[in-house]
Amino acid sequence: MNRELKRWLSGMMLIITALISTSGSAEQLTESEPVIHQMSLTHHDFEEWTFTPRANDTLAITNKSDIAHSIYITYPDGTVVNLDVQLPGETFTWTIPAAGNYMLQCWIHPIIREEMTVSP
Amino acid sequence: MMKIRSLVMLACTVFSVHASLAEDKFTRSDYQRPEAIPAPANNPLTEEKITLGKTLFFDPRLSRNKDMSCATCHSQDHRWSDGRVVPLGSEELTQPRRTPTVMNSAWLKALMWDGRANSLEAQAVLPITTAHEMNYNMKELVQRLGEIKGYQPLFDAAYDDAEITTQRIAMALATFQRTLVSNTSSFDRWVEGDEDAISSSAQRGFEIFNGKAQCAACHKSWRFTDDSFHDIGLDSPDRGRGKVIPVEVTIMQHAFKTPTLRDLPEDGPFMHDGSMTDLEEVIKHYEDGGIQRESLSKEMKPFELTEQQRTDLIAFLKTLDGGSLDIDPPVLPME
Ligand SMILES: [Cu+2]
Repeated sequence: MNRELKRWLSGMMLIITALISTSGSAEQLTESEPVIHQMSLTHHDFEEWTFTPRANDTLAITNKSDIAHSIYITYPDGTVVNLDVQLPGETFTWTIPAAGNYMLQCWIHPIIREEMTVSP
Repeated sequence: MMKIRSLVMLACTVFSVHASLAEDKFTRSDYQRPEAIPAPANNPLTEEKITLGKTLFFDPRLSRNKDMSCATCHSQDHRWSDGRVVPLGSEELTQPRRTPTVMNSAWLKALMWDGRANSLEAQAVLPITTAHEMNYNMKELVQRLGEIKGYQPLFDAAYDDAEITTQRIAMALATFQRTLVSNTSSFDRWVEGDEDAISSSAQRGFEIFNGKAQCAACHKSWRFTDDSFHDIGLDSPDRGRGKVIPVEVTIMQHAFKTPTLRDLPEDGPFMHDGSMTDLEEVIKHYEDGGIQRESLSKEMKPFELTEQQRTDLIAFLKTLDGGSLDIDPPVLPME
């Protein structure tokens, strides 16, 4: 399959997904509902995110590469939290405990290194 | 409003799955050489610093006994390694590790087999101060270099004043090492479109490298490493990166940094412990999948190659050799 065909297919998938989701019931998020942000991990980085992470939000991170990762997070106070090993295709979650600057890294791949600023 | 946002997010997710799947298919262009040598903003490459760094690199007076320079073990004749199974001076160590090459180190994301240094500047002082290596200390070294008159103009040219400091020594050594870049190899010419630059056997080897053998899961990019750490299941008691990071990270026990595959020495030695001397043995190790243990890398998946496929893979690896670098040793400054 060539690259252009793939692009086209992705485009079609986009449209189909859009149609499916608009036909569902409209849900409104309220203050009390937990917020889950989808994120993804490739071979060598976290894909750029556009949401604003806040304290108590949950990140659901999917490993979209074909290799395993071992993500760990350094908290603002220096505490290191290990999220074990993430196999290809797996989604793992982490709930942000408080506002501040967090560093997301991978034990296997030092090139993966992303800072996340969390608002209150 | 909320609805639109989640829609966009969902759409992005779908799109990115496809984009990354496409990205995981390797093509020649994934191995394209970079155009320029990177350097940190606070230590840019300059001719003067390269000259100073090269002089320091070859000067045995950087060791306590004045009998060992950086170039003793990172020798031009051995592709900037030493060709030895066990490094000079480490014969008495229980877990010696092979001397890695310093070629293409400008691009390294982690240094040393266990990744305990994160920049060339930080790494530079380690061999100087390690007891079984150059066995010196930076304080005395700064003093010793200060007494060698010939160094003053070199420091002056590099830093605009002649003061000698640990940091300046490290910065100059790092700068010189950044200039040690692999020559263009026949593989590079093939990447650039010269179809006849490598044999058809090597081209088949490239397919196996990226396909069946999955070497490219870690030996990625033009340097043929992504600087990742893995336990490849060698029978070695050395805990590698497991010794320098929290012990509960099981996957890093016995893990070592993925070495580059460019400019491999003819007879190795290969692996972090220098335990293998020919590439066929190395390939067979990966086919077998290594020792099964909890820390074994998830990328260690057994596979089987035919004799011909092994030959092809080795033919491909040989195309990554650009030959030795043309560097004249410096004239060492007089006392
Ligand atoms: Cu990773």
